[in-house]
Amino acid sequence: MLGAAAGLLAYTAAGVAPSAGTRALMGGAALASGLLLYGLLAPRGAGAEPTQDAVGILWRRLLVTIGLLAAVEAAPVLFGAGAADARHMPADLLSASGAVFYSILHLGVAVYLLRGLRRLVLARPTRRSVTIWRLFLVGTAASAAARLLTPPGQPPGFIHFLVAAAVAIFMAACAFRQQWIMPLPTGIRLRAGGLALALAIALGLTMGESFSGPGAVPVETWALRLQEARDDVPYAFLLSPAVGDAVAIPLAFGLLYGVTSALTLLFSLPTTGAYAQRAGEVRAFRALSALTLDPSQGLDRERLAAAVARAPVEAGIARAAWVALSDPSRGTLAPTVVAAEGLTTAAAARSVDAAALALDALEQRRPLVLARAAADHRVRARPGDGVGSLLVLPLVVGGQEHGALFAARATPDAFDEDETAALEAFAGQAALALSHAALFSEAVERERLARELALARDVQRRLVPETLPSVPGASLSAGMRSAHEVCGDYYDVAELDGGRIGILVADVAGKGAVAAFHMAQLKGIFQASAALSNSPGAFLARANEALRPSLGPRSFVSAVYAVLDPTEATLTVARAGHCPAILVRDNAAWPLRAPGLGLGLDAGPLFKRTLVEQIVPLRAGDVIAMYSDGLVEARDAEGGEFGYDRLNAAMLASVRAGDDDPARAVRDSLLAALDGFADPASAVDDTTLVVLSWHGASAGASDAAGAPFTLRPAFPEAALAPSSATPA
Amino acid sequence: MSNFSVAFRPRPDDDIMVLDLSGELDAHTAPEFEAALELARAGGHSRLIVNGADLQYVSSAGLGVFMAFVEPLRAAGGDLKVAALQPRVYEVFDLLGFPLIFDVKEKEEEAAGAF
Repeated sequence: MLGAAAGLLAYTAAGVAPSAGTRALMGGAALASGLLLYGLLAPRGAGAEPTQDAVGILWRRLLVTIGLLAAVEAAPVLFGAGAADARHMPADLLSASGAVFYSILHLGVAVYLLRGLRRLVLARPTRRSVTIWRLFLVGTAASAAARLLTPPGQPPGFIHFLVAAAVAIFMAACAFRQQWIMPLPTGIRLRAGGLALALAIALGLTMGESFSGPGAVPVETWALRLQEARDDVPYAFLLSPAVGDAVAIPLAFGLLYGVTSALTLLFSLPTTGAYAQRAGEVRAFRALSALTLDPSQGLDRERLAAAVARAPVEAGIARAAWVALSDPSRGTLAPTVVAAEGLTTAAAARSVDAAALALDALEQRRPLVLARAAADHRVRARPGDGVGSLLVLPLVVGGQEHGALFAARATPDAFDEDETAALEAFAGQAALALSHAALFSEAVERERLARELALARDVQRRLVPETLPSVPGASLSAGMRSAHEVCGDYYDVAELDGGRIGILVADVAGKGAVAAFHMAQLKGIFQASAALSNSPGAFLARANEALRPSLGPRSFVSAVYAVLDPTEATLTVARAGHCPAILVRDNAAWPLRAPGLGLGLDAGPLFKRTLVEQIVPLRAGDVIAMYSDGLVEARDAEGGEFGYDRLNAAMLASVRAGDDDPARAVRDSLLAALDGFADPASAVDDTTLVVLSWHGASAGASDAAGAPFTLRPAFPEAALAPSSATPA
Repeated sequence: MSNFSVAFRPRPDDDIMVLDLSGELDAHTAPEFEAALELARAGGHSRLIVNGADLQYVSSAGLGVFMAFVEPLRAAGGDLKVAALQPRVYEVFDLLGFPLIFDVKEKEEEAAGAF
């Protein structure tokens, strides 16, 4: 540019007209510097979204254009009204300097204008729009280049005409790219429209002045005609027709774009609200989906509800919104307000009967539109409370009903069909997100439960004895299987005084965690009080008293407790509602079924009065099995029970003389018989088995033909005393 | 599996409501039985007889329901009596000592006469 300027000045000073080639060279240099400037003005980095800066872009261009206009108006004052052969050369150095100054100024403004308009034209760019824009730029450069060889004042050639026509088409195509307008809010839109119009006017005036005013130069096709009509044009201030083209086309495009923008802005004003709302909806949907997709953030029910309530208000669709959810896990089936936006949760709960409205909407499976909310009996808000119209949107997905989203506006009849539809779609999304949240928290809860149950199972395994004491003359063996993570069966062995051994088998009614809890409690009772007495009845009565307060009205524990006295060779058994222990002697099975209530059924008097102990004087070869009902109630594939007959038969078959450890052999063969009958994997109840075999001395001489045991009341004094607790 | 059902049958001559149970009363069906008892009590019936002629099985959870209701019914001046149990089911009642707490009769008439 500077070279071209220096050249022009030099030629002017010398008073010699440059040759056509030199002119072309100078014009080319000026064009090249314009292109360079365009490149230099490219924004650094990604640049802000033009929608946020549209007013700024237009405003700065307007100021620059006005500045240029002022400069052009001042041309005669600054550079003198020196006479010139307008068609050829500036007459003197001053006007030549003017030509250089204005060339640079015009080119700079043209490039600055293009840079700004580019951001508007290419807002939300498509591949096609970018291509058209580039074609427009290339066309402008080509059009200017085509003028390089044309001397000033000469009409442009045919090629230039073709190029200019193409540029006009691209220009028009670009002028209708107005994507930056859509997201603008109304206020900004008005200002932008005014600025675009002002810019168009300013550019029109500038072009008129630059190309046909007092300082105009006859460089352009249309300006040429103007110039021909005005012979008093004082001097040329543009270096060459090429520069004229390079300036005129951007300025003309600016004018066109200003006009189309102003029109678009003005015509779109009535729908501005809708646009703003759509944009808000998009934002709301985006906010919600971002929330639901981030499992670390969004899958919390309360936060999700708050986000759902916030969205309609943020989108500008509702003045206030709130969410009512039911929470079956906490036993509240009627939806209650859990989050609100635009008013407090308490105020939202006060303003309407949220439960009734939500249930109504859920039942209808579509939005409830209360155009005049105050007229509905379920709306408690008074006029002026901001609930003029109300939308109740069911939050339901599949069969899963979560509750409802409420959207309120201050005026009646405020929600149109589009808004209702948009909110309905939004509510569908929200319900889905809530379902996901529920699933997620259930999964977390399940995992937590599984972990805790695994821990409980571990703890429980340690509650039953790891090793059984060795007793002279007897052998003991035990086994336990739980059908659930934790079980309600329990067995334990305690060493009592005088070498006696207490053996307990118990079964807590019910299964799972509660049963396991009572089992642990029983363990505590057993450890603490078994050694206090050698009477099984006394221990069971104590256990009954200790358990009764903590067992609920419908739970109880059955137990059988046997005390083995190896010195006397006797076994004393008491039964508290439990399956009878079985004694096998001389190839016969004897159920030890003395009366006795289950633990926890009675406060004490009745329990004591009815409890009977069985005393078995032992003989070598006796085998006694104590077990839980999981054994006799085990079912085969057809639903048939294992039952007492099979148990007795299995015991008789398994008692063989000569085993090293008869108790273990009996236990193993009993469990094998059970497994042969029922699939252990399908067991529904816990199974416990303790086997005692006696191979010590036989107690006294007893009648082989009679019953192998004697009976005695556990509490003779209670059995004799009259009691008020007599059953009806 | 869940073939349990409860039917209400008011006796015409006396103010006694009979609950005819059939099927298997276990942990899964116990809530149904409990709901039926609750319904009878809420309806002002405190004299109840459970007729178990068609009851095939009872588990400890089922027995627990009997336990839960007998005391409130007695407190209301009524009772919960059990009649016509099949031997297998009676065995379960008997093992736990229920006949010491409940009137468990062979015939419904006997149970009605025991009020």
